[in-house]
Amino acid sequence: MPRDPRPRPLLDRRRFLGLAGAGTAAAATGGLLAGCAPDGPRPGAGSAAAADRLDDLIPRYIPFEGPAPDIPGVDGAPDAYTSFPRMIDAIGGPRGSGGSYTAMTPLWGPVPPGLGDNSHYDLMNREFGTTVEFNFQDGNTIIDKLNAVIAGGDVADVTMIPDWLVGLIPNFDRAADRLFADLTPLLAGDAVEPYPMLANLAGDAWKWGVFNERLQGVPWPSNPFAEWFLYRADLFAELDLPLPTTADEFLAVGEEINDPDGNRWAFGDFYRVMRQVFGAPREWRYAEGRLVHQVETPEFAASVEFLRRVYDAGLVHPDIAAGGTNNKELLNSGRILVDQDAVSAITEAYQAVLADDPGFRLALLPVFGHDGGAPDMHRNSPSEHCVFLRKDLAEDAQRELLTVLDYCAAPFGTEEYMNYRYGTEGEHYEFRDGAPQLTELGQQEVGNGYLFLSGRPSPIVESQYPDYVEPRAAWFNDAIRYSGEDPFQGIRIQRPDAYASVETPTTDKVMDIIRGRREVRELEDVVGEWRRDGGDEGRAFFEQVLQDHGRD
Amino acid sequence: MISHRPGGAAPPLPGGDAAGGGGHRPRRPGRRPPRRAPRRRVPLGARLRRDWPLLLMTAPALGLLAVFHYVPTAGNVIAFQDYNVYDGFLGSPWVGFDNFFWLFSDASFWHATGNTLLITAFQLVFYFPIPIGLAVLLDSVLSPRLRLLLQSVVYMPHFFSWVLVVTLFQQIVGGAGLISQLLRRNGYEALDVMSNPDVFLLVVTSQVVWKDAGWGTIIFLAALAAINQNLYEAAAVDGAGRWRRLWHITLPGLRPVIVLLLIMRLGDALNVGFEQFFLQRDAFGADAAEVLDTFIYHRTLTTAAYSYGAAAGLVKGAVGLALILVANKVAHRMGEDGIYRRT
Repeated sequence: MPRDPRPRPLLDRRRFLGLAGAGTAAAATGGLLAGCAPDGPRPGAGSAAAADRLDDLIPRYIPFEGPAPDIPGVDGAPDAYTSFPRMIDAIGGPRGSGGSYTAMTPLWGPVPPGLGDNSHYDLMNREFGTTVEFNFQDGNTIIDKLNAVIAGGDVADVTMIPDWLVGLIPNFDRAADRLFADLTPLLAGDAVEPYPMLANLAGDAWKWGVFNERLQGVPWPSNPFAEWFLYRADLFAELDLPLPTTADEFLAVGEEINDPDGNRWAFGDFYRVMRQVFGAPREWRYAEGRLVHQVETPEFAASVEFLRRVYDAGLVHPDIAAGGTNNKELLNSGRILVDQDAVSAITEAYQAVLADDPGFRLALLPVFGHDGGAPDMHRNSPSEHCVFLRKDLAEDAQRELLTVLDYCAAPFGTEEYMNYRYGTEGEHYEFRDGAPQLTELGQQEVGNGYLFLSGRPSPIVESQYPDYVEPRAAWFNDAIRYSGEDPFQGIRIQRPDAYASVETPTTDKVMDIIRGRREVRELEDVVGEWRRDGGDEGRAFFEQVLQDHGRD
Repeated sequence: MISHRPGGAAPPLPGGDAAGGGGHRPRRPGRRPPRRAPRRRVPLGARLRRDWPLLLMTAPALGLLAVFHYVPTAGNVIAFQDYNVYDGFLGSPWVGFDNFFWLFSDASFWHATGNTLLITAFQLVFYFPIPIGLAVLLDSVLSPRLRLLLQSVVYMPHFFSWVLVVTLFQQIVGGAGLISQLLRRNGYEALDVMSNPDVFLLVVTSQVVWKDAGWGTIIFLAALAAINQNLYEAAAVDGAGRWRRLWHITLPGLRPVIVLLLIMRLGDALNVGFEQFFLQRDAFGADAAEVLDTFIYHRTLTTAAYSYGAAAGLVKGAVGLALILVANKVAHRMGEDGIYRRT
């Protein structure tokens, strides 16, 4: 039972901020005291790491020749394997020198038994030639712990920090400088050669690990897209419904599905996906020497108007309209048929449902634009997590730990991958239906900890699921053609406070419009307030970043 | 406080005064109790020798208070700094009252404050009296077994978490809930209360009533138990009916407790709870459901603007303290004990 290697926090950062925010301005009271506000800008300017000067700081890319994929991904789309290939030995024997280190990573799910009571740990430590002891933090609350750890400066030898948290920790650059090792001399350029698996990680992802003009983090290369529409393919087939190719068809299909009397609604929420359908940019659009923010674009307005029509037509499940987060259950039980979720959510659903309901099919809706044309598919940041080494480790220790990280970067198709992911065949897992399934012992002892010690390319490999690998590979290869332009691609940006804190109130007000608590025409006011309360400040900052990078 | 007692000449009734708890001295309305003759000073050393076991027993509690309340209170200095975790209290730059100015010129802060006060006011009228009425009703149940059962039933929801309470309401009165489905199946419009900001006050207050009204009766039941039963008998002999006894004996007996709780509630006016609103903010929209606590959370904790949040928290605390002092003063003026009295 291979778990999806990419854990999902219950709330990702965007959703988290989307839930959040401050209330709407009652402008009258606001103006009251504005007169005594201190001069100068509020503290909290942003910062940006240069993308173009980074080439010297990152490792040389040396692709690893593993088993050839059955369906190669194009332009950064993931490769796909329709069956488990013969695994190859990529590294050879243990390379460690017997050191012992601690590692702090998040973990979603139960904590496996500790060192000494866990044969999977023993196996891995033998493989490494190094002892790694985990200190797991509950993935859903890791931000609390991390803030304390960073304030106290008391970090483990290896620390994994999810990228969405890097954005939440103020002045992360300073934390990185104070706490984490500079890996540039050990990895940049040809220095990476002793670590062939790390050399196999994409350059864009490595650039994401640069802080303070130094390579500090080992990246976790991400899939190009985070979210899209998931739909119940089995029920669509049963109801003989066509797949929509325009926004109007989408609405029409929804009307056809909707059957509140039968306790079935058409949709969950798809606020973030719908604006991609309408072609709004991910964050900024650069045109004619000026940055235009997503919320200012006519495409965004059109998507809001459309969503309002969806809500007014009563097509959204009332639980979701009331801010519920039970969309997965609703979708799995067929009480809604289309929903927005992480692309990786399908594997989770299959694990949960397929055993009880073999006919269950969940799939990605084919990519479409609102008028039948091209959507603007928002690309993920190139890396989802960063793995750091403690600053005051001796260089030998750093090198030894890098061999551990290198091992954990071994991609699908290697014996190393099977070891850290599933353990020993026959003991922790066995092949069933052509795919590895954890045994009872494996389920107890094999955690996802090693997955978090390093990143690796993540191809589509779950061939044990019906109608899964081929359609998914085809979807990615199709969707990648519609990747939106992002003028800040590859630049890691710490957003200025005022700009960051205006996001939530704005989302709140847009939600009010979509859910019928405000009129659609008020969107203009909302955008005006966004500009006033931090949007324009953000624009100035981002335009400066463009200039600094010579992209204007 | 037994204001119905005629004149000032009657001696205190036997069997304790009506308020119960023993802490309240009966006295005439509007007049302070007579000053006691100043006690002879016992020297500090002698008192220490005499009281050291008592002091020792309070030491753990004092220690806890100091470590978890008084010392962290000093952390409020970050409200006057542009605080960041790297430089700490000592290294972060001082910005004087800037954070407060930003806060007071922040429209969303005033909006959240307005919402909070509105909810407090609404619940003062529509929630606060309910535990009193419920306590009187429970107190009138004669069968002890039935009473125990009823009490357990009404206490129970207090132990449910807000997540559970909100989900329960959602499942029953929500748009896809039990009642809505029933209505739909019979051809009526479904209910729309769990996402309609117009009825937000009503919904959150009903939730509070359902969850906490039972629990709130405990203190009133204790006060009721302390009312001298002879008074009821005497009144009944004099021909007072059920309502007269309620009006002239029961409610005056409860008055000090009611005033005490009212003052505490006023001091808490800017606190309406966090979870309940955090959970339902998305459903009703920030316009209706943003209260001070959720404002502080979303505006400052999620963006790590700690100094700003500390300033907001400090303002909240200062206003709460002022409200308590004022309410206590007013209670004194009205001849009540309030929550404390300078002696």
